[in-house]
Amino acid sequence: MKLIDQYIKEIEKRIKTSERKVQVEEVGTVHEVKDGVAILSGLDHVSYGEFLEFESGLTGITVDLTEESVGAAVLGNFEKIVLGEKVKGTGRQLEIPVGNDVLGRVLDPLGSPLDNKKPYNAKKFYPLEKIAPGVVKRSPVNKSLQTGIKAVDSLVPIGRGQRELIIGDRNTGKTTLVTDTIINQKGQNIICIYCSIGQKNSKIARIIDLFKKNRAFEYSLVVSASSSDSASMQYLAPYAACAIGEYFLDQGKDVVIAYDDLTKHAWAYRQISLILRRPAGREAYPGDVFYLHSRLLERACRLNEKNGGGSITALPIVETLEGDISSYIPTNIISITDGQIFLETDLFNAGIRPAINVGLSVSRVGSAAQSKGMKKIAGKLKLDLAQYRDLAAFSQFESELDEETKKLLNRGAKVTQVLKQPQNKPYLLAEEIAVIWTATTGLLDELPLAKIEEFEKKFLEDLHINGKKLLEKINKTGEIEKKDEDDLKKFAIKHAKI
Amino acid sequence: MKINTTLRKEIRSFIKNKIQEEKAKITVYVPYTLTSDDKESIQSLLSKKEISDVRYVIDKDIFAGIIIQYGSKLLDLSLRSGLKNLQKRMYETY
Repeated sequence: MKLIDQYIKEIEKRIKTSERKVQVEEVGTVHEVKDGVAILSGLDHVSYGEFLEFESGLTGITVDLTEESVGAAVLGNFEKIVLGEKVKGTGRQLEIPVGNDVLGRVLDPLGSPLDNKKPYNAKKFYPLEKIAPGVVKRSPVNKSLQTGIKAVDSLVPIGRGQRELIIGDRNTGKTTLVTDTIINQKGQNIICIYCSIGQKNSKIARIIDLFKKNRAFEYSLVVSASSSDSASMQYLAPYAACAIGEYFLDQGKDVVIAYDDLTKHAWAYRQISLILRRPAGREAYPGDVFYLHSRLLERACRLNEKNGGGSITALPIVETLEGDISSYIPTNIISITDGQIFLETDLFNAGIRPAINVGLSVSRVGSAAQSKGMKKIAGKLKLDLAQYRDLAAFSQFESELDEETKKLLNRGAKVTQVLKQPQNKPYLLAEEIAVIWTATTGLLDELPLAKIEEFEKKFLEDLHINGKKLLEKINKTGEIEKKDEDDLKKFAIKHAKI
Repeated sequence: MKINTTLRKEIRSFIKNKIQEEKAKITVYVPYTLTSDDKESIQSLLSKKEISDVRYVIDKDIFAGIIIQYGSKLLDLSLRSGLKNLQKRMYETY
C-alpha cells in the first residue's frame, strides 16, 4: 500500500472517532500587542491562568484580569498576531500531557517535541500550577541521593526529597555538577529531568549530546526554553518540568529535577510583569518574585508510604554577579532551599574543581541522608578541612612553622587534592569511600602532592580488578567495617610507596 | 485634559451603561439575508430576548450555518469553523 493511502486511512480513522462538540465559547479581540503580552477586550468570563487560543494558531495564558481588559502572555512568536484578531477561551487551566513515553525526549514547556520526533503518547494531563503536598502527606528525608561527586557526597550530602541550591558566578561548574549527578543515576531507578531556562542553544545541544553518550536518556528528559524563546515560555518551563516530575512522583518513583537557572527565570517574569505595568519593587522585580520560586520549590518533597513513598529532589541553580550572594534573588532562594553548594571563581581558577567552598556550603539535611560508612569518614574529613582553612594563610611561611601546624597543613592539602574530580566522571559510593578513607587515615601524608592523582587512578584500577568483592560489599551495605579497612590498607600501601 | 470630577464620574457611568447595553444585545452572523420565517425559528430558540434586541449581520465568509454572539459568549455553528477544526485535526494526525 502506498504511503499516502496509509495516511488517508489514519486520518479517516481519527476523524470518525472524535466528534465535533458544539459548545458556547468565550471570545475576545486583540486590542494591543506589547513585547510578548497581548491586551484583549471581551473574554468576560475567563479565569486566571486559563489557556487561550488565538485565531492565528498561537496560544496564550491569562496573567492579568482587570475591569476593562484581559492581559495574556503569548506562548510563542507574538509577531504573528494581528490587531483585531479573535481569541477564544478554552476553559482549561494550563496543562501538559504526560505519559511514560516522555522519557528520553526533549520538550518545550507545552509538551511539543523539540527533538524532531513524533509527539509522545500522553495518558494524562497534569496542571502546571499546583498546590504543594501538605505536611500530613510528607515524610522526613533520610535516603541519600548519590551525586557521584566526592566533595558533595561527603561534605554536603543530598537526600531524596531535599532542595539543594547550587550557586556561583558564571563558568564555575554549576551545570557540570548537575549533569554529573544526572549521569550518575544510571541503574538507580531514579527519573531525572533537566529544565533549561534561558540558556544558549549551543549549551543545551552539548548537554543533550552528553546525555546521549552516557545513555542517560533511558531515564531522563530535557524541558527546554532557550534564550531565544518568548519570556512566557521561559516563565513556564520550570513549572512544566515540575508537573512532569509529579506524574512520576504519583507513581511512587524518585525524581531529580534540575532548574538551570532560576536567575533567568526571574528575569523572564520581571519582563512580563513590567510590560503589564505591575509596580516594580527592589531591582525592578515585581512584589511576588519570592512566591514565584517558593511555590515551585515547595513542590519538591518526600511523600510518606500511604501516598506512594516517592520523592522529588530539586537542584535549582542561581548565577551570581561578582560572588554577591546577598543580592535579591540569591537570598530569596537560599531562604527557600534546604542548603546550598557555593562555587567560587577563585577556587576554580586555582585548579580546585569542583570549586566548592566548603566553609559556606551547607546541607540542612546533612548526615541523615548519608550511608553509615560515608558518615564515619566525612566527620574526620570536615575536621581536617576546617583546621586547614584556619591555617591556610600561614602556608606561605612553611619553613618557619612548628611540626603540628606543618602536619595539619600537609593533611589539609592532601585532602583537598583528593576531593578534586574531573568533569563527567562520577564515582561509585564504594570508590568515594575508599579514596577519602586513604586521605583521612593519613596514608597519603608521606606521598608528594603531585603524585596523588596518579595514586588514586592506580588504586581504583587495582580495586576494580583484584578487590571487586570488597567494592561490591561497600556499595551494597554503604558501611565499612574494620576488616574492610584492613583490606583497603593493603591495597593502598601497595601504591602509596614513593 | 483636566475634567471636572463630577463630570468625569457622569461620563464614566454613561459609557459603562452604553457598553452594558451593547453587551446585552444578541448578534447573529448569517451567510445571506434570512426570511422572516427563518428569523422566527431562530427567535424561538433564544429564550429571553425580544425580536428588537437581536441584530442580524451578513458575513459571507462563514459559508453556511450561523454564529450567535451574546456579549463575550459565542456559539459557533458555522461551516467555516467546522472546516478549520477538521484542518487542525488533520495536521495533527501523521
